Amino acid sequence: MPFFAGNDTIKELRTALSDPAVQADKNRYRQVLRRVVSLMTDGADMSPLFPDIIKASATPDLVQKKLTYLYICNYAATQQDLALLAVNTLQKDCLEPNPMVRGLALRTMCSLRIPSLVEYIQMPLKRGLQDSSAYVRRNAVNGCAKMLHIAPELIQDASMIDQLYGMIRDKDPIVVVNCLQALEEILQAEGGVVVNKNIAHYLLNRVQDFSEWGQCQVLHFLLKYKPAEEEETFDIMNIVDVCLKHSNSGVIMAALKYFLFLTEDMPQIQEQVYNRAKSPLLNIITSGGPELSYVALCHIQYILTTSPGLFNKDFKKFFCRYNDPLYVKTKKLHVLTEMATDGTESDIVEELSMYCTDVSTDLATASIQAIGKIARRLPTSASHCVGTLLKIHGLQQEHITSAVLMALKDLVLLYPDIIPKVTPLLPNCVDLVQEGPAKATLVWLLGQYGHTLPNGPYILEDMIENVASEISIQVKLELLTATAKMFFSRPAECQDMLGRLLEYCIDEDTNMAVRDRALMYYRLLHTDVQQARRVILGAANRPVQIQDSDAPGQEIIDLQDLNTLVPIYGRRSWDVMVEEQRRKEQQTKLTNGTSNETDMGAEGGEEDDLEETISLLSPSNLTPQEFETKWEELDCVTTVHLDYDPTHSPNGLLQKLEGAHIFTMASSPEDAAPWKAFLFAVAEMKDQTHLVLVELCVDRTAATMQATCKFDADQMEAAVPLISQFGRILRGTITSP
Amino acid sequence: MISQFVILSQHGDILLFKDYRGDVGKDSPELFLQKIRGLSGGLAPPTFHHDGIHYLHVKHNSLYFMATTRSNVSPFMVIELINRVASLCKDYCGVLSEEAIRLNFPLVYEILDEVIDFGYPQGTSTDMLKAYMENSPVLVREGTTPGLFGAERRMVPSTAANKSIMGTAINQGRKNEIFVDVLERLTVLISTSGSVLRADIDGTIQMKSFLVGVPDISMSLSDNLTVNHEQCFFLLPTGYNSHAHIDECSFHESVDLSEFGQSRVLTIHPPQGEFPVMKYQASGDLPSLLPFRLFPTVNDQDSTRDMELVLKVFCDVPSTSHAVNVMVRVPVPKSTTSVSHQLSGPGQNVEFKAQEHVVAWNIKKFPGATELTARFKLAVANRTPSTRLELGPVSLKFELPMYICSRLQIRFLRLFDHEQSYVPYRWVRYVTHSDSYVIRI
Repeated sequence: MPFFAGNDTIKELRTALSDPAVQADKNRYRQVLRRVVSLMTDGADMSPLFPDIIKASATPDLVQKKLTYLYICNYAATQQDLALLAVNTLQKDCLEPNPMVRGLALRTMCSLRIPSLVEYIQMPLKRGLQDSSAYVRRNAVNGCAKMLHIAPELIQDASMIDQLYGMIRDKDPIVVVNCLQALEEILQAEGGVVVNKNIAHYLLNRVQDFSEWGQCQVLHFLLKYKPAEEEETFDIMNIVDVCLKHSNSGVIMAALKYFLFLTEDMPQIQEQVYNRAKSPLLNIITSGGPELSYVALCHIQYILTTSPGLFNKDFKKFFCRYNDPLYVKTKKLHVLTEMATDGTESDIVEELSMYCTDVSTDLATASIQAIGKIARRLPTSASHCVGTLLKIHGLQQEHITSAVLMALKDLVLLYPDIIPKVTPLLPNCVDLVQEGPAKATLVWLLGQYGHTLPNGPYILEDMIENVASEISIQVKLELLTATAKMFFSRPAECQDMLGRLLEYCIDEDTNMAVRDRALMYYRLLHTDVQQARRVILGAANRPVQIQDSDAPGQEIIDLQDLNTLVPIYGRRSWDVMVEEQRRKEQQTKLTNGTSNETDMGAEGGEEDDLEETISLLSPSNLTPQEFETKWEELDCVTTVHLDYDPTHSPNGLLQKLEGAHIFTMASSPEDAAPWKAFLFAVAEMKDQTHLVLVELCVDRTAATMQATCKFDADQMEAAVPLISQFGRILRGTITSP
Repeated sequence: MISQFVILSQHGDILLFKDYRGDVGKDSPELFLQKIRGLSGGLAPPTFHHDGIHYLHVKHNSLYFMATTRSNVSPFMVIELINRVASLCKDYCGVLSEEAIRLNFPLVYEILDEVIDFGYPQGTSTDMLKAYMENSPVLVREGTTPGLFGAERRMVPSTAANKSIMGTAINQGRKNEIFVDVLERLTVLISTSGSVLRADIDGTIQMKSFLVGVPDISMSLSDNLTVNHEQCFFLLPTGYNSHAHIDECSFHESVDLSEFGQSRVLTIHPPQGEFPVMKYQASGDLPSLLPFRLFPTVNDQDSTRDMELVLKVFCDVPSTSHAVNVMVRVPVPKSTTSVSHQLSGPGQNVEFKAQEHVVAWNIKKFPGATELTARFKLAVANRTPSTRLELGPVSLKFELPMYICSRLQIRFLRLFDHEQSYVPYRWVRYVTHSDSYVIRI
């Protein structure tokens, strides 16, 4: 919980930090710093102490140094001006003989996330890449990835990329993995790091050197290389085989995914791989913690959609343990439901029926639903499942009865022969079932099949008596329909009560839907009773199809999704989430009017943008008048901020842009301040052309420039890739040497 | 790659907050807690997403270890990583508790700083990290051993091993010690008719080394151990004439298996800190009897009188062994108003938890080859036909020191040190825990 330290605390800490007595005593000084960091973690604002902490960072005491660096990283972004003071010490530390200090300083410096400090970091970073200590090199390589988001032009530089590619051959395995990760981020626009045959073989040969985390990542990167010949594939599989036996489930899953990827075109071998994967997955479920168990269950559920029979023999491993957390139990129910086959169905249903009496009503309800689902999926099991459901119904508990009724409702439609077994139960349920959806189901069942019960109409009559106190609209609607249906089969008993119900619903009920339905029935009956019967009862034998939203076979499973978060949420909800995220990003981009290039996250969401490439075409004729009117008209705007290199003349810049098919409409004289130019370009994307207008302003004193771009695109889908791509071209052209 | 790593206390205080990538807002712990609290009762899964941010968490000793990310990471890797950070915290602080983290937060920050950089895991081996750690651990006072549940139960509740690996060299006068624990957890399910539906052993040989230097260790397991599973690379002729038997096993990367096939000797080059030497599973026919048998009698014929339940429990381990902290837990009908009981001996008690509808029968010490009986009378307010079905299933929770169901044994533990200058203390302990031991009645 955040709380705010008062001024007194800050004053007190400041006094303590500057007290010579405290400064002289290493331990007391550490204590004060610990307190500062501790308050910072609690969420108190400690930023006023920034200058004092910077002073404290210049110390040979490593404990003290680490604490101060931790503090500086946390507040640097809010104290950009003062952060410059910290750089001094950091730079000095980068030259220390102790590699630990060098590495620490470099890591801290790159984590500051302040664009204005880039020039100070550049040199230490480049030195760090060639440092003799592996520790420093690791941090330097990660530093490159960090700087990418602050100073892309520094990192997306050919020589830098070459150097990183070279460092894949570093002797320290962590440096190697860091290089791959950094390159993947840096080259994201081009599809990430390139893994060719040489690199792949080199990585495979060293696979044992890497730490478990390294192996996870390396196996992921190896997915980029597909061996050409079968023999090579088998060699690779022999090398990676050892990873399948690792104790870290991350490594096992990465290796498994790699195996499946390698055998994609060899279905028979792939089947063997699946079989191979069985026991590690089952082991994670039985002996990993509940969290890993859950993740593994999600994956099994996902795999079951393509290989339904894979775990048939092991179904007992999916039985719930009493101390499993509820999320594991519920997931196990899903898996059990989906893996039930004719052979295992009776054992599974038996087991599921045991969960109905669980203390958790959620689990009880879920297990009843699961039985219903099995019955729907396996027609041969229906009678057994229904028998079990009827037995469970005998428990006479509200949540159980409700769930049983809902499950039976679907089943009576699919298997009409069970109707005589179900109807006698209905009268008992009336007092037990109170909650909206379940009660509505009960009323529906009564309306549909209740006419065979001797007291059928009177059950409804009781409900009609109490309709005024009914809160659920759904129940009222069902009651109307049920009474009307009952009226057609037993008119004498029902006429009176139907009349009362219609009267109440039309005159007194406040809900429009209820009133409308009542009115419709009233008018129908008033006009033509035979027609009303046809409308209300409908055709007797409608074909029935019930689709479960999460039924197997409806999701397309993709190997790429294994060992990611997709199987956890399910493909469909994943797609929904990604789509939502993208829409949100577009909105922020458009409303801000700036394309936020330093947005570091959302790699997932941007991938699609990259597929749509734009190309700039040769000029069409555009008169200054047209330009002016267009400039007024267009409202799709983005602003790109760039650094201006004073050694380049503005005219040289315009020439460069012309080379990239961005043409000048008008510009200020060379030495004007501020210097301005109006540019235009025609972009082609997906066979459509869009006009782009640019206003470029150069501020020489601040060495920055600003490009305001307007786009002729009325559709959101077109605008976003256009904006980002054009921004990239503009940036690329201007910053190119 | 992960964006943030947060450690939260049970009550939602932020004990530690480390931001690696700066692409997730600082309010993520609050959002996380909201979501967790919204789904109480164990419904909140370890991974969920909100507003494009994925939250992955693991609960250790009622502390939340949580990581956030925006990218589509491998959930296996992240959860393993979170677990590893938790066990590193334990290695360095001695115990894993809110107090220990609070006292040692600079140290834990250091760990997080070195283990993960920019969201990518770096190195996590305890001895490698030791070189980079500057803060010294503050030891938590004795007697604050954390709760019994969860991962912690894998360790024998003894404070001997609850010390920081950093502390040893400095504070303990360079005491050389090595702890080896053989831990087995049992998952058993017995049907109403008494037949065993499922019996699984999940075992680990856990080693915690405080040795000075890095001597090689050779550990010999029972030579009559059979391992059979088609996926193990060493296949012995199967058959049940031998005593110890497991289905499947995997080893830590520091284990050399060259002699295992013939003589069942493992050569270990132990890293410092705690690590699993070997994990193994066995299921189906266990080499020894199940440790407990239960004979229930339920008398509910006369609905005017109280429901009567008699539980007779046999402890089927040799008389030289005994079980401790046994708890027999019986879910009772929801409308139970009170429970009276009659026990066969001292050292036991019965607790009726009306809120959870559970009767717990606690037995402090249960000697092997004996039986205990308890008689319960349940006053049930309104009897329905389903009342009987609401009773049970019975679950047993217990700890069996110095007893192992797979009969796996460590024959010897030898240290190879070039100098032979010291005699280390070697501690080998065996324990069987119940994981889920359920008997339907």
